[in-house]
Amino acid sequence: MKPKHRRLVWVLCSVAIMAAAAAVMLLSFRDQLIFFYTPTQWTEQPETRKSHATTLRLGGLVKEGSVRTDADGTMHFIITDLSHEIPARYRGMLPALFREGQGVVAQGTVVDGTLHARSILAKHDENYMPREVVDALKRSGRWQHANPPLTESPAP
Amino acid sequence: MIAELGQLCLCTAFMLACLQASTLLLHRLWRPHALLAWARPMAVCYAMLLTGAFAALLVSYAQSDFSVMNVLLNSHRDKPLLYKIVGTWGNHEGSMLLWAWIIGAYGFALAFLRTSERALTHRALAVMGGLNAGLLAFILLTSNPFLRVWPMPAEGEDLNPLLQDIGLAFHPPTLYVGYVGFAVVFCFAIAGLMERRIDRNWARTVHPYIMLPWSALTLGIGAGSWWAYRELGWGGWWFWDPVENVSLLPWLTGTALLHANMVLARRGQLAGWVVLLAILTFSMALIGTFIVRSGLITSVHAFASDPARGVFILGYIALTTGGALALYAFRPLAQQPSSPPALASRTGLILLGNMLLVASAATVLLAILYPVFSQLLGAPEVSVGAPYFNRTFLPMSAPLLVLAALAPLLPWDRFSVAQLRARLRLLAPSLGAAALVTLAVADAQWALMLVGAAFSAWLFWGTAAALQRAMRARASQHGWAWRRQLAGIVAHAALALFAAGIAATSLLKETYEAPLIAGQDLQLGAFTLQLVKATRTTEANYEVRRATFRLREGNRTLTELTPELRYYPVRRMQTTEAALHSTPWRDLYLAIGDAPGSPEGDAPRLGVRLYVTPGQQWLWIAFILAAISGAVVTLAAFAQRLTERHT
Repeated sequence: MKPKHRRLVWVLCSVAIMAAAAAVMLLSFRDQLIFFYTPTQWTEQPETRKSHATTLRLGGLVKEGSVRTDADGTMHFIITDLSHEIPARYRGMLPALFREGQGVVAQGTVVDGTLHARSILAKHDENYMPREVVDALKRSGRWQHANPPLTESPAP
Repeated sequence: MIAELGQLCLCTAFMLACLQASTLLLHRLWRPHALLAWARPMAVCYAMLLTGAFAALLVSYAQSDFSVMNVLLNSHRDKPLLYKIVGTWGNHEGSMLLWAWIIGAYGFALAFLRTSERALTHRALAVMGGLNAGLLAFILLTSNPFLRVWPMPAEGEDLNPLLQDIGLAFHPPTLYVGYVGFAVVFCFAIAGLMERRIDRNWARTVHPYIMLPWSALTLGIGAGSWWAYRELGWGGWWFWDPVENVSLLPWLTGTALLHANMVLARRGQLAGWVVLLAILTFSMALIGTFIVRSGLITSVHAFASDPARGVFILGYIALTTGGALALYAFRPLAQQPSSPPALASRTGLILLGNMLLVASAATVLLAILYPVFSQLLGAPEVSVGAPYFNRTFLPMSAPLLVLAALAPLLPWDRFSVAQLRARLRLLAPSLGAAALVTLAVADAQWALMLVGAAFSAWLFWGTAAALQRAMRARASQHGWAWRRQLAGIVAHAALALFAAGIAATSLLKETYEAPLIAGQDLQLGAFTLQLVKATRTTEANYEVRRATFRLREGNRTLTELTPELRYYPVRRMQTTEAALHSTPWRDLYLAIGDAPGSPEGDAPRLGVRLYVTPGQQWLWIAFILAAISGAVVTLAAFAQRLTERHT
């Protein structure tokens, strides 16, 4: 085989591999993404919702006084961005920092207007809120800079 | 006083680094012969100054000097001394200083471990001076660890409790030795491009500086996974978290680089590709830094975000990567490009594997950046999670296992169809073994299990065959060459073990969750948990709830496990400490946590989570084996250099 032909073989190889990579990526980007909604987005923009069965994330605050537990251990609570509310239910153990009035991101599917959460993401400390939740509160106009934690250094 | 000394060291080192870089320019203008050699003593001084600066920060932490802002924000008097010391790099500023110190240490090594390529090494050191100058400017302008606070507060804000784990002592330093080491390779690539000489000697000079960081990065990623496994309390070891993915990028391109460089050192082929990979790998390490430090993404690792830092690092990336690529494009290598390798050769299979590795890295990189772009374009917020990676990364990387088994069995230059067929026949029994494994654990997901077991068995069989051939040819090889060859085989065996571990942990894992009821044993599948005692005590800087359980499987008592829940009052944060019972075949992992309150609205009760994970230990062993084999190749390269000098 001449060098020219060999080079052609390699060009074809790399094109094939890149095409394969692009194909699996595009397919997965189409249906394996997890979309994030705030309660307001979910309620007011139904056209942005994907089909019902897909997994999504809802983020906001756990409404004060909304947490209750059934006899079988299923927990019910309400996710709010202080403009709109979405009821949610969850079975299982909670992350260390799930509390009323705190930020929460729940992942699951929405059935009849209720989020059936399969996991609760709240791996953060008390000062810190997931960025998505802060953005959600800002968007609903309810964000207040209450006690910003000391993070950045003033001049020495 | 000590902080000011550290600051002084940093400023001096910055000026020195500028000088070190300028030797390159002056040499270009006037070509005085001895000038480039000055980079060597300068690199030594730089290493000493950085050691001084790093020591100053260490001492500030050890003494809990809260007049230093960085110590104030990340330490506390009651913290155990170990975590005071390793906490030095448990924050953005300190970890950047560690980074700068490690690159200084590499410079020191380069200056002392002389090679036959003296001019090349000096030039690489000068390029390194340029990298260091940018890095120190970044530290001094945006992330100075030595800023003071006045008046001095009485108590610090403590280190994030999740970081108060022995993992902090290993994970960041090893990871940075990896990241930073690829900077050395980058410097050599630039120096080689300047001299228009990327050849077999270049490859031999650089090889240990590819193997050492590769080995360290492997260990660092492994240590991070091990830490996440123990500390986060969810029984998983890899979460496809953006920051984990970011550390995977340079590992993938670095793995491609080390194989391509083997080809270059042995056959003198692929010179241009090796240089491109060297540039790419360092850029991946920088992009990782950018993503972690700019607050672009939310992650467990996210440091306090500051847009100024992001902009600075972005500029740094543009300058280094952009400059390197420009040099690569406009300064073609002098030698006539050698003819490309035949596809049907070991070199060809290595190049094919390289392409797959780079393509896998691309699927990961785009997934990291996709949410960012999507947000910039005003689309709804998205996150890319495990399902995406299972669908893209696994199919892209699985063929690598096939190549990893085949390539070492085939000759370097060309192989015939008959030879290939013979090797395939040799490997065929492995597929039978995979079928047996699958039947043995017959499970709902048996099809996936079959695929995983097949790939793993295939590679095990291949490495066994390679070992057999190496043993047969042993007589013709002297000490270090033999060890190096053995290390390659062990690394591939580690990959096979790793694949088996992934298949087992992800497909055969059992999860049980239940609330704890006083006076009652818990029945979890085949396991029975009996609460032996529960205590509540106060340690130096946290309160702890411990529960001791007796774990029985059927009628057999396996062990007693004591998981903990810790509450750190300074940060008002709770962490879980899982209890583990590890055997070679499976891990039993027990964690306690808050279960939802009872219907009467009582306070939250305790619940337990039990994970039974087959093959978990295989993963850790695979990480360690791979790291050891990388270290052996590094040592082999240095040892061979020494013997060459003596003879």
